[in-house]
Amino acid sequence: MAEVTNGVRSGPRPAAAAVVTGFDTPEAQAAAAALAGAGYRLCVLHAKPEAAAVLAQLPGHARLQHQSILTDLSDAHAVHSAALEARERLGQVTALLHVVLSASAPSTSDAFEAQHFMRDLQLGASAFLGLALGLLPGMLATQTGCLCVLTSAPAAGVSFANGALGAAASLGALLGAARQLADQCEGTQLRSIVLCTDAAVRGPLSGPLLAAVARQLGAEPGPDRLESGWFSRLDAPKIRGPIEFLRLPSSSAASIGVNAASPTESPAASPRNDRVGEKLAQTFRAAFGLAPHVDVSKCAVGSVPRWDSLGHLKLMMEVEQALRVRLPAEALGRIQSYRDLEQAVRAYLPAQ
Amino acid sequence: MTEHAPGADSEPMAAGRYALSEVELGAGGVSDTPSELALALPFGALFSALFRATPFRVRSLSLEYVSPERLGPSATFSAKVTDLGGGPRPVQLSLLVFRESRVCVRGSASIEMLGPHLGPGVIGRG
Repeated sequence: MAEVTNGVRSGPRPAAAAVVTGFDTPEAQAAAAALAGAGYRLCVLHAKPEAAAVLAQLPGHARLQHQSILTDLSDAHAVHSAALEARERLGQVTALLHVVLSASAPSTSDAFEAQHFMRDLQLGASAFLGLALGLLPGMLATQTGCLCVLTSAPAAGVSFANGALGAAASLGALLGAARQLADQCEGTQLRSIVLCTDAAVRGPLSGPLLAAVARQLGAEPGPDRLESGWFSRLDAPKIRGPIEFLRLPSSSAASIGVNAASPTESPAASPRNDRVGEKLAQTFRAAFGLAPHVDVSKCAVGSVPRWDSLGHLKLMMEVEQALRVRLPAEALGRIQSYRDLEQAVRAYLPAQ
Repeated sequence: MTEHAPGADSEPMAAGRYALSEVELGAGGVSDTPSELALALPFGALFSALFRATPFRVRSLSLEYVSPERLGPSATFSAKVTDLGGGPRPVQLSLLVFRESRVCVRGSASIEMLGPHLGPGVIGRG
């Protein structure tokens, strides 16, 4: 129990309490259940009234008295109010888990695309930043806390199918928000982390992924806890600063890319396919400035220095343009090597 | 200077224990006294609140400006036990001065726990 002595307040380590967003979705509900199972007292944010009924099904509800707040995270004012209300209800918030696992479906209409993008931006980066800034004062006071985004590469915009500008801006905004918070947390015991699955996540999350989320939220700061991975390797040198990325392997997601058509087996070699191969290799070399003697079939994300997240976007844009092929977001998220790229391109080339 | 807070400690000392206080710094943000001293002094009361009746000596106290321009008439000072130490190893504290969500100053301190009748400790800058 905290005590006040001559205006100085002291207290024990705060009990674990987390704010979880997106509680309308089964993914966020599963994440909340995992945290409740790990002993977190929760305040969940949801946009639909019926989601509140799920609260009673969370582990330890009778004892921990989990809370719910009906709010619209696309409204900046509502975000601020929700953060303050969550602090009031939980007393001390030690973790924020902002669940961004779905993005608006890409559209062929530019105007429609812009609307989707703006909403994704508000629900993603803006809501995260707003909630985090509302919760940070309490976390700074006790120097205990973790600000976390749980997202997937497609949802974060890494492989958004339509519009390179929208994709870059969406990803940049999310990383920028996390970076801003990481700057605030630098030198403190607080953490700002981005947990990112390789591919799109739909439906209930798998046990390993949930366990990873709960473990990361409760982990103490320290370099030994940060696992190397795709996001970390590609973005950390460019982002600079103390932001932490953790790649969650595709196998940790329960189902991956279920909305995408499954790539078919590569067709047998033909003159047309040979031309595709040549064109693809040429485009690939040009995108990354590779010399002609480089064997592109052995190139992968880790072996090509300029193949980072922005390089990935540039490559996909140029491949789509050069080969007149449209690759779905889920397929782009799975591409980790030239062979993956070639397989995807051949699978989605329009029949002639 | 050693601060002592009245009353026995009802909570066992543990890593993660913290103390905080809202401190008036004056209209200029750090008043007329040297800013380093003005920023260091409030931590003495926080150390007393953390260690209660146990005498201690501040072996080192290091503060680093993050954004001193964010300091206003008042700020929140926070000290947290990050390592309990033990034996010859001092207790390690993490220190913060912040306003709302903005960190202004951060630092660390090493605290030597003393017997009940040893001499006063010293606050110095490391």
